[in-house]
Amino acid sequence: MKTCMSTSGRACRASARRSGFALAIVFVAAAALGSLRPTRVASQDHNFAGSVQTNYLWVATDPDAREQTFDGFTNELSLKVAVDFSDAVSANIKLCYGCHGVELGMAFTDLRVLDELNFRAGRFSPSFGDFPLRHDPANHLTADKPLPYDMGRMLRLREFNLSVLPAPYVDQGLEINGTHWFGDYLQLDYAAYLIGGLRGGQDAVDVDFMESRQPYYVDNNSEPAVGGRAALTWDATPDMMFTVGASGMAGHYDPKRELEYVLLGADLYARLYTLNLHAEYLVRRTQMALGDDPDSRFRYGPGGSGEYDDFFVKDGFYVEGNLPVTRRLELVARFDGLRRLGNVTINSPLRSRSVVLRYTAGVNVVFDGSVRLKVSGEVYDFSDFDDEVAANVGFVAAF
Amino acid sequence: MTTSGRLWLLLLLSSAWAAGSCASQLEARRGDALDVSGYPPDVQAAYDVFAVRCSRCHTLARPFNARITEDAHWIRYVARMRLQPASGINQKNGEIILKFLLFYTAELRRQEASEGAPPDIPRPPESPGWTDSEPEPPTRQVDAGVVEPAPPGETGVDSGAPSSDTAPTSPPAPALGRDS
Repeated sequence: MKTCMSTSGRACRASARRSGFALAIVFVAAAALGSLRPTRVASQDHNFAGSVQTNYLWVATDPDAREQTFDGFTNELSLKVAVDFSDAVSANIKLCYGCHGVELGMAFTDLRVLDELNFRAGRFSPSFGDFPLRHDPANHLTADKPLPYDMGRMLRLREFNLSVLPAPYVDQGLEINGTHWFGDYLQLDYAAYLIGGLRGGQDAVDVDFMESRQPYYVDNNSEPAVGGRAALTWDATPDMMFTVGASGMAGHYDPKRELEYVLLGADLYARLYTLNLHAEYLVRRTQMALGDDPDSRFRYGPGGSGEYDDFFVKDGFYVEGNLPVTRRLELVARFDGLRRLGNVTINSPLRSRSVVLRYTAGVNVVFDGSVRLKVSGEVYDFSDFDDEVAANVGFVAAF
Repeated sequence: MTTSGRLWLLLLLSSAWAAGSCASQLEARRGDALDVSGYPPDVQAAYDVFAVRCSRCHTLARPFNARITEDAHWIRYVARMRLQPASGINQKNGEIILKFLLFYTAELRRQEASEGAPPDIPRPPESPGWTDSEPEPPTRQVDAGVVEPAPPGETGVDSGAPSSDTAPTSPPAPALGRDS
């Protein structure tokens, strides 16, 4: 540390204060790092996991279904490595291959200071909703995903521009999360995060989900989106468990940060002996660029106020139950829907209120060695298109 | 055949290979269905806790196929899972789940050793994951790779894999590393 021989007393005191402050920061940082040191074992633990699902989608009512979805064979592969550096530090890396090509599904590090305080940095699925917890094809029991989270399996996917939030939604950023138990029965989970956010083009009228997966993974508008989640779990009995959760996310999706989106969700999970019930509702309010000449851009004219609405709302829900009836047989039933409310572009086949409801019933055959055959039938009830009947036959292995 | 056709063929073959790899491990990797009727009653009870909590976000194939070989690794693994959102795994349940997983791993190890195959799940020389507050359970080494429970009369609880000529016994439930 410098002496004060050649400086004035005031400058010397200021310098000493700065030095003391810097020392205090170093001390606190060292103490924090010290608290993160491995408590018992210095070695790393590696765990490899993966899954592969091959699915055949047959649309019985449309011989040219490729015009409205990815029918026929599709394949999804995921490979994941989890590394526990210590009790407090771990990292996860996951590579996926699907209809959109190769994707980095996870690349993040967790720093756990307490059960109630975990820092997650990197590329991850921000905490939103219940389904993303089990989005991997090996972890959910239908070949496709619920409509609010669909990413390329639903019929008329292009007309609806996919779902409310295609899962897995992966982004870069920082998340602070934690969990706390109140006694032995109530668990509170929470998370808050800053991420790049949904992306879209200049003067856009909706989010472009392909942009979220464009290499390289960079933000498009120099402004993070913000979000969070809270969930309360009641561990009622050894055979019964209930979770209720709420999620939110908001930000701008265009390069000029003029178009805003707000995404909200609520979810419910119940475990009643061997019966699993999931229910969720998602809604996204998305601002649209009206442009210089809205008359030529939009199908519907201005409202009663004489002005064009500059937003639309897309919401969706699902209710799903699954029940293992024997050690090798599972029943799955699902009712889900997706709705878009608001003005549409002049060429859109949708109306200002477009709805799709879907009814799904399925049977899974469980083989030893964690291989499942998923068979399901689906009936689509469209408000703006002909109704469709489809079937999925999926073969999934977790390894 | 076109390039995309070859790609699809490659993916299908990869899928078949992956599925075949899983299916060929029927004894060691039992998928979602595990018959625990031959396990000690306390481990059967622990399995029930495990089966409910650990199928919340994934199928039970995940932990069964994890191929984790060291107790310390399981301790960290369960501690990490316990902190997953809505896991329903509190400290007490975590220890019960760990009790089952350690017994399951030891049982796999015993099966593989008794089949004469070179054990690919080596028994660690000691269980490094036990917490400081909990003494190392007394055991005696019988032969390479197999640890037999200590004879009656010694203090402590049973530990490790049962030998092939003894009834299955359950390991203790070690404490998880980090507490709230």
